[in-house]
Amino acid sequence: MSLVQLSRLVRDVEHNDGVIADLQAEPAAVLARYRLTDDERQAVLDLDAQRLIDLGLNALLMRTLLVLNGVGNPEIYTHSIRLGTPADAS
Amino acid sequence: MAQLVYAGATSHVSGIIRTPDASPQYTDLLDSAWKRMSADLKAAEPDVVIIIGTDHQETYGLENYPVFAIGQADEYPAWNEHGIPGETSTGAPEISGALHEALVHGGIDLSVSMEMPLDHGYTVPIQRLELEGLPIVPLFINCNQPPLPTLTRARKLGEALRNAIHQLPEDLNVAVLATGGLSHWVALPQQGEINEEWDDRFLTLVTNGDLDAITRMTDGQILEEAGNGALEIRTWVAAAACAGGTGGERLAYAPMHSWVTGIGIVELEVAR
Repeated sequence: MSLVQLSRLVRDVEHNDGVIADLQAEPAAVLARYRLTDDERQAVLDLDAQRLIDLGLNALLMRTLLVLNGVGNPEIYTHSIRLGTPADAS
Repeated sequence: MAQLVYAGATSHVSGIIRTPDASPQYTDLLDSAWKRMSADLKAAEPDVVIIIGTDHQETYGLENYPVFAIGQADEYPAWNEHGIPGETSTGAPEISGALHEALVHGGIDLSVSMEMPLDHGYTVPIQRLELEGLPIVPLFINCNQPPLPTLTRARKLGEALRNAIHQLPEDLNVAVLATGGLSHWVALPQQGEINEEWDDRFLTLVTNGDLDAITRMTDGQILEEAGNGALEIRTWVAAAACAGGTGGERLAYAPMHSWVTGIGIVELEVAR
């Protein structure tokens, strides 16, 4: 199931050295390693908290993904950071 | 025959270790309670501490997510997720194995983890209560990946654990510590809210030994009133049932907005 893959992506990002850097540098290449639906892939790229939860990702993992990508806890639902977007353009 | 010599419950948020003085008006209250809990637990001279907690999607994933699981390792590394401090804890694999067998034979079909890194749900109370030198047995209850075991099932786990402790093949002293709760919303838009009235009501039920009233709560009610983090009260229910369900003493409560959770600290009566 793609939800397992989505969850595994987050746990790999957290637990495996280098994955977070790869995700931020080449998000499409990292996401291609996981059998995700188009909606899941886009929600990860958008770091879209509500969409990730609506797609079934556990809230704890959603938070981990966002926080590791520079989203502060209070801004989880309001930020405008996206993967693959230069910091000065976000 | 082994005996249960101590039982208690405490919240486990990482702020306890990272920012202990985050709300100075509550520092002395909480510090005194945890110091007393630590002293009382150690004075009971336990040979092993069973820590009933949960996992925040660090150890277990959707590939195979247990409802209940018991650690049976000789040591338990700390995840140190998000930089949360924590050291490797010493296990008691023979005691774990005996408890596992007794629990399964007692009607609780739980999984076993012979490798079980621990997250802050375990490592924070270990550090705050200075339990580093004591062997532990981590007991996991699924508190965040629905469907969750019912509160009634958590109570039955606790009752079976009480019997399992008494069946341990040696004259061991055993302590039980629950970790989790109270009201808090984790990674949800309401994050930061605390329901002091709900926390007070829950703590009163625990200290009155009213497990019947607690187990009548539905997850929907808990989610609505106290947030997804309050679903961790399963650990408290199991510990209270293990202690005999006769009540206890509230050592402290503080609505710790700086830690985004209500903090409760309770010692449970151990019924003989």
